[in-house]
Amino acid sequence: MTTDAFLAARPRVRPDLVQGPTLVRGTARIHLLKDPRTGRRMEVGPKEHFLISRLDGTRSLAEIGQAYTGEFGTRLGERQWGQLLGLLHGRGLLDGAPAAPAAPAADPPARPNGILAGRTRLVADAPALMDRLHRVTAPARRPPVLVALTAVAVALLVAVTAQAGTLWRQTQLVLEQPVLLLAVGCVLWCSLALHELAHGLFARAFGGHVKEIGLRWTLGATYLYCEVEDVQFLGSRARKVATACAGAFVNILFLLPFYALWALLPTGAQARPALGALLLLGTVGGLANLLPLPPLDGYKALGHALGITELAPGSRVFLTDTVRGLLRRGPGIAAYPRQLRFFYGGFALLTAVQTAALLLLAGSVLRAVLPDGRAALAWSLPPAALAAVLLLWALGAYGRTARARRTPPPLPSASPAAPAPEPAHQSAHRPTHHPAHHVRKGEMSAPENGSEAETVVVLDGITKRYGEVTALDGVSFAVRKGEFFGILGPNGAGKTTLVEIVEGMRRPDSGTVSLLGRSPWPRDPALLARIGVQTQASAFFARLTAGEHLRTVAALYGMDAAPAARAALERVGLTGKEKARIDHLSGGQRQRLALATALLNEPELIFLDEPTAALDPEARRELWSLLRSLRSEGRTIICTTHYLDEAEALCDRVAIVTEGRLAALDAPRSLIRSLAAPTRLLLPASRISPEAALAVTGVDRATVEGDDLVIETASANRVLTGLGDLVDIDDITVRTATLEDAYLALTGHGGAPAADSAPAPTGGLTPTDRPAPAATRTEHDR
Amino acid sequence: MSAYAALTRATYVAGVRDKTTLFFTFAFPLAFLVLFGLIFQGQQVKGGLSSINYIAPGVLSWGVGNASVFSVGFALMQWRRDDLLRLIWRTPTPLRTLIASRWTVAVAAALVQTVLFTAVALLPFFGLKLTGPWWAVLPLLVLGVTAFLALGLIVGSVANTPEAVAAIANILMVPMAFLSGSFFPDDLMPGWLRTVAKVLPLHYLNDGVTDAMGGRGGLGDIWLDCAGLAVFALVFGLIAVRIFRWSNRP
Repeated sequence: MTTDAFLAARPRVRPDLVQGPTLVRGTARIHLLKDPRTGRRMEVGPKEHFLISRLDGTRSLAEIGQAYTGEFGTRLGERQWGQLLGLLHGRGLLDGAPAAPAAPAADPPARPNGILAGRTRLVADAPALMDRLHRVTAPARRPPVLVALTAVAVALLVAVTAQAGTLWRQTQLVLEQPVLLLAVGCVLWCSLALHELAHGLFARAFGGHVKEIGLRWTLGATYLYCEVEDVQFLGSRARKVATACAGAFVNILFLLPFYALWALLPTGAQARPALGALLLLGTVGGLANLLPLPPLDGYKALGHALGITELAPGSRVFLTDTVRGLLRRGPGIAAYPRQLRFFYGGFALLTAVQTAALLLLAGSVLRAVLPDGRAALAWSLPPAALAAVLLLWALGAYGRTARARRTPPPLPSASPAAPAPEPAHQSAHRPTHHPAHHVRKGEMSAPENGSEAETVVVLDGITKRYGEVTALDGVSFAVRKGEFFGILGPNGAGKTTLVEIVEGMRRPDSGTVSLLGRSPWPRDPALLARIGVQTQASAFFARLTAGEHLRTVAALYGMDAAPAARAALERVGLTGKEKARIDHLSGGQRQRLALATALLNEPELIFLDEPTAALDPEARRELWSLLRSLRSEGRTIICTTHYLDEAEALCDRVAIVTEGRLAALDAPRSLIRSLAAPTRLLLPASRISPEAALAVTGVDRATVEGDDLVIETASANRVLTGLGDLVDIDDITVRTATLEDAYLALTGHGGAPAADSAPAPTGGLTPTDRPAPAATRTEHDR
Repeated sequence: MSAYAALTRATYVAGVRDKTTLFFTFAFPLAFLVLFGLIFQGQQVKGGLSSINYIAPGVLSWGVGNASVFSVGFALMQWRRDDLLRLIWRTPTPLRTLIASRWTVAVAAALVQTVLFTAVALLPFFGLKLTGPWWAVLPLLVLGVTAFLALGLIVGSVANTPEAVAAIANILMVPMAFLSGSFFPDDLMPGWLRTVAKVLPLHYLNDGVTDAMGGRGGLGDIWLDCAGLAVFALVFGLIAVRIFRWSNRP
């Protein structure tokens, strides 16, 4: 490609790329970017940001290069462009570039939990919990309420300050009673937990994302934490500051009822000192958190307000630079703009003043608490403690650096020298996935439809209601011995209820069930011993190995456990995993273990519930062949699924259930045939116009869908012959009707089938373009 | 291997492999014992007994009750959620075998807790002396585990998520521990609070164990506490049977 053609290209970064704020670190300006699809965050310098923000598809590289020269005074060569575009392309940030692999877990490798320090997740789905809390707290977020709450909090602060003397005397009383002190501590711990949740809720309200809620412990202190991701992407500085200060705000609000109680109790009440201590300690604790000292909330708020990240380290480097400059050992602070000098220097001064004040305060508190003879201790203890903490911190930091030096850093995921993409051809990168559904060959052999075949399950007029909802409405069918029987239907159609009634777990409101010639209700252990059920893939005994789990279940059946478990493992091809913990098995292996559990008692009839849900294609095929082999052994299999290709591939007959009714019951092929759906012929739209296609004999409809021309016909042979004269026959894809077409016709398009069933003929774009603000989309993308 | 033996083994293995359970069953109460032992070291409660004679039995009874409620509550909730209950329902093994196996493991864990905490409290530094009829701890523990296990079954039946189990169990157990005098001698509490505590199962366990191990009361008091625990076990057991569910679906 020539340089001119290259510079005329107009590449575009993905429009959903989230541009974060501009921050200062040290003396450098950095811009934050986030890829909402992978959740990956990037920092770029001002020059890169200048370019990226102009790659919008309307400007050519040459125009942007000119603007760049005007701004920064240097020219951009083809090589620099190549580097930048290569990097963007490699990370999947260019519009049309293939999606980059999901970000490798950005978290630092979790340190193993110990007694001294560690963390544990408390909430399984923290984002969902925060969503729920977000909804519940909606009334409190209305501006008048917030203003009122703030006013009340300020009033409380004023009241506590005014009565500080009384409160302090009561606190002193409590300090001498360990039991009371402990009780106050417990209440304050709860307040701290709410503090963390408040950070999360504020961030959530500004569109942030709470990643994790859990418990952390360090040196015996245990506290709740609430990890908010991407605080920097919350928007304006005010939002970030508000999020940082939310915890302290809630700490103060938390004290309100206690203040009311304290104020209402008569002066001599026993509980008053404890409440007084709670008020004083709670207020001091809440406000202390707003001090601009790392790692407190106030420090974070200050950083957000100034737009400086890593304020404290920056300030430390600034001080070092200053000292070096004064000693003529370095260039000094010439590189710092005036404003930054003010900020970094001011922060250093502020820290020094605060530290001194805190030491004085701690000393005077100790002086008041300790007996008179220990006055010297009172004044020396806080500085000593501070020195010890600083020493420990320095040692820890040194240790970490030393360790980091010994282990080589991981290779960067995308190197800037990646080969340049060809922006001019970017339209060629558009994802193109046309399903090549050629004519299906080798139809499955239908079972003998002999009426003399023995029936295993007979349902007659089964109806089941849950309150207002009718789950099943007069369902009748019979399953023959040795049949692979599918029950299809949208979620909530009553499939699970149906299976539960057949196995005798539920009793139908009306109708009769016969299972192997007997009634499954009430619970009949002899009958249950003859059936096997594969439930969800998680029905395993916790923390056991595959072998241990199977042996336990075998013992529950009263079987000789060890041989039965071994046989079942061998049956599903998991012999090598006998000693593997179930938690460490893959999805396919777990499904097979669930199947082995169902096969333990050598059942005549097997129920499968969504046997291949969430499996990758290869694992699905493996499981399918296993299921087919089970059927060939003469077992009867009843299988619920909403994968239509699965039903088409496995089942002898399928029952389609919608809204509690039996919509259809037949062999998949017959269902498709009875639909009399047209055959579709797909060919590239560029080859022939719809009008020309319609002129061919036998063509019923011709429409352009995406890049394809779709022809519908009832006589594919004739049309193919006719088209052969106009286009190359190899360009034509023939797609016959599938079970999906039959299903959609029968269920009246009611329930959308799983997206990964037979691909839609257009293979085109997703029908709905969710207009979601980028900041809230992160939760979908991880 | 009988179904009972297999379930007991499975419960034991799962418990031993779960570091969190081990921590909250053994290390966490032990930390409390050490902490309170240090805070109240050398102090005497009215009646002349050393404070460790209250703290060790208190922490022990709280640890036993807590472990029983949490382990059974979590297990029942998870088994129902994961359809493991449905799997057991289909086998000929009755539910009582399942409960019996959990009970066995809970009693065994309580015995280990007792030996561990008592051994630590007997160290000269803490200074516990077994002057009372300490063997009476056994029937108390067995009855106590039964009562709290039944409470755990109730919690596990009511709650559908791990968070709910933790929340409900904590709401029940934390105030109960304070009101029953597990963390400080309940003789320090005002009279009316001690009356309130009489409706709490932990009060009886704590009271009985303090009498037996700390040498505060005689056998007559201990039998009374045993009777109280038995009543709670019965009441909780009946409630648990009433509200038991095989499945989360209606």
